Amino acid sequence: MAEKNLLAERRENRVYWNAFAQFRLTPGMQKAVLTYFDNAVYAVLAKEEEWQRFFRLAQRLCFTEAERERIRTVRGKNHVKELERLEETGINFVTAEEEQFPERLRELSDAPRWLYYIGSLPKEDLQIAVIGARKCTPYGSAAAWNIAGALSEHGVGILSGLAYGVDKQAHEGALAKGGKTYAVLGCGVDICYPECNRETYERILCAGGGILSEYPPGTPPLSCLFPQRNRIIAGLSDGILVAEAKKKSGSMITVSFGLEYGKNIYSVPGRITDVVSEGCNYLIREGAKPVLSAADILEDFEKVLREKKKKKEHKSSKNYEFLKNVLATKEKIVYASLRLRPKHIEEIQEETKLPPEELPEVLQSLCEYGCIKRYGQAYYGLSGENNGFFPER
Amino acid sequence: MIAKVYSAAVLGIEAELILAEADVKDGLPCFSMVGALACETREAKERVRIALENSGYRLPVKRITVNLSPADIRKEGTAFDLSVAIAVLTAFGLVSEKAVEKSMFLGELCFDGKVNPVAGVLPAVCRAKEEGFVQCFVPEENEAEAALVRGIFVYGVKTLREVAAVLNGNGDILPCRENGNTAEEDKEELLPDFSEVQGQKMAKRALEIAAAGRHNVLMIGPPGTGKTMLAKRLPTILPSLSFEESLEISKIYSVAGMLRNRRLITKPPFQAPHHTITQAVLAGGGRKATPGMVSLAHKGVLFLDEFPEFRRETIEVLRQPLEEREITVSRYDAAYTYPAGGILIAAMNPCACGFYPDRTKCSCSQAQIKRYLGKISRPLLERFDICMEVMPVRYSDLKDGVPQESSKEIRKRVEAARDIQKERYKKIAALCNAELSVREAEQYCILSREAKKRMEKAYERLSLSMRSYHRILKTARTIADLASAEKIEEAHLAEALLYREPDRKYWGE
Repeated sequence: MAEKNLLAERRENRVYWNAFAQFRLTPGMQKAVLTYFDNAVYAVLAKEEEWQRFFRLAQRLCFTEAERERIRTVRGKNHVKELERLEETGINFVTAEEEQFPERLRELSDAPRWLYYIGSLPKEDLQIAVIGARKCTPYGSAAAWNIAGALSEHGVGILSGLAYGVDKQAHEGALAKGGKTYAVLGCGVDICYPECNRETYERILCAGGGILSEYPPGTPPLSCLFPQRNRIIAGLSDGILVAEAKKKSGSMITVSFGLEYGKNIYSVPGRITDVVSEGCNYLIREGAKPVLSAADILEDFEKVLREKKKKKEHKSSKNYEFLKNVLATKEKIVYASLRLRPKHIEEIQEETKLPPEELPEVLQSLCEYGCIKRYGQAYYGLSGENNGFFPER
Repeated sequence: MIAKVYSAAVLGIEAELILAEADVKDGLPCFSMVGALACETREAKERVRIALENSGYRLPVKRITVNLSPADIRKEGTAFDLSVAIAVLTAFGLVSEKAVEKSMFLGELCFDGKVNPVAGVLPAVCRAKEEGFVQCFVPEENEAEAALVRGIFVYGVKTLREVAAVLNGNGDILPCRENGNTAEEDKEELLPDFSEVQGQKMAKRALEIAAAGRHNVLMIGPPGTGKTMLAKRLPTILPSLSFEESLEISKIYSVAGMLRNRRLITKPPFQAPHHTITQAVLAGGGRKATPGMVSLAHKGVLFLDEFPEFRRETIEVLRQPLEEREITVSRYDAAYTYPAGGILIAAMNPCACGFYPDRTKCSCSQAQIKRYLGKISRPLLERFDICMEVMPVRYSDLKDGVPQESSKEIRKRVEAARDIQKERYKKIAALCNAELSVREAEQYCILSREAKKRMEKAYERLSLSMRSYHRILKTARTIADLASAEKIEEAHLAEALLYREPDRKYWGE
């Protein structure tokens, strides 16, 4: 009986917190409303006069007419129906007062008071955020893909933001190794932003991962929401890996949140001349741990992971053997001249001195082995998958 | 009495005979003209009357009516002036009727009796020759082009009086001597040459293939990589033109009024319109139907630099000529067909700033890049058999002047490949691989067993459309021809696949 009461109470809580979330208030405003009304239930159920008085008192916060109107309409709705409607569409709602709410977030000073999510919430023993630039180079995307993949092989949950570039590669890398991965969005969970990552979005859910957001469904991707979203990524993780980032970027915001919360910061070193690696190198100089492979991260969390180690020791060397035996002479010459940075076919031709009419066939068979990858029409680079780059230690 | 004198009207790039009939009767003194005339053609009566008077003829006070027949063809332009004047003179008996038989008269008249040049003389004289005419009178400026036609006497005349004098047998000008093949001896050294392009071996190879099979090319690359330089040199490796081909091209230029004082066009033409060009100028048409840039590049090269900057509707017009190698311009009274069998070369940057995929320089977002490339529609993109990215030139390439292959050497290989094709396509309409129809492609582009396997794999992996499949087949055939191989081998196919249009997924990643 007592348990039933508890469930009913929790349900009621959710109903009103959901209504409260629909107000779409900034963190500052939320705080003011909750201080005035004591809690979400009272705030939602309060009479109009009460709100008018609040608005008068809270003049400093400058509630706009549109915001006032929104609060009024949300309060006028059937709150129970609203939550039911939401749950029917497969979107879950959880408040900070409930047990399912991620433990890591609860500890934060500016923790979100609720979360919307599709799929599941991250529950792994170890969760690593892999973040970086949208405009990344093949180097950054290979690093994200490989390390995220290797981490998820050890049962690590991969967190990221479902953006272009590094974010997408991090999700994809984890998915390729059958791991779970979670995307924290800066818009409603029902909106896939950017739209072209729809495939990744669906696959995250199919693989048992989750899409999370603090914002109620239907919230459009506004640029002002993304820095706040980054604090959730930082908060949910145990360590933050920056794969490739400029010095002034969203990734750096996530890192500064991470430092505030006391998370480990990892960084993939880049060339000092690359603008897109500037942020990463800067972090290393400031004391972030340079990461050459997933093992560099895993060793810091040995206690958490305990077993699940070993296995796959000589994978890379085996791969090398395979290539050595299978490839023909010309293919070896071409393979040796390639790097992760894609090279134009003219460059390859000049370095290998193969006749222009023979080169295409060689490149194509290397592509078929999967050890090189074609970029655009005339650029080729190492595929960065299973070829000894980023070897497992 | 009625006098009959011939001239010609140009329809498309062919000419029709036009008969000027002059009738002189007693009645109110008046000069009228009939026969579906455009405004400037109707004005001929004033020009003719005054030119005749100023040339020293006193016209008797009679009623003069001139009909240009057939009366259902709309006549435009001023080329009929001379024939009208001669018809009037004949009607008054100032020129003998016998003398104007089997003669053609072309030219515009000035008030002082001078004969001005006109467009379209070459097709008109060709037509006269076919009809069995013995002589034709053309403005002096058009004499050179008219003289390209053999087997007909061509008189280049300055004034109306000269024409009358020749017809009356007391003229002192002689018919122009034929000058057909000895024309235009441009010095080869003055033309651009492939030996000036350092490095860029793969790009050169791609252009060689394009020239050998007459495939269309799309070049993508950052600014200043030599896309324009390469395109300009493509005409120099095209096979030299036969006399018939030269004549066909010269006709187009004649109709466009671009052949004045020039002789036969013996080199494959090169046209590079600016990207602000309108649809009418590119494809043909306008107020007076004239051939467009596509037709002026017939058997040569049409180079469209900064391809995405062209207005979308302008480049979409190219779809039909790219497929059918001719373009039809429809007007309210007729439809004109112009040949358009040139190679299209388009050049573009990979993104608005031009440096993608070099992320250290390019700062365009994925959406921007997509939008930039999206300006070119997929169907148009599929019409390019060869697509290649051009690499930035490095200093080392500029510095060491290693002797490069000259255009002449490359042209030899291209010509050999073209000869193989000509021999193979003896029985069909196509002249080279790119012109094959779908059925002919299946019939003539035979893959070896290994190549077939590779094609199967590629078809699945790249999810090709049927059109791209056939385009790849044709390109592979050309590559095989360059290697004088009978069947398409694996290596040939691999190279053809390399030049497939860029993977959209890469741009959209």
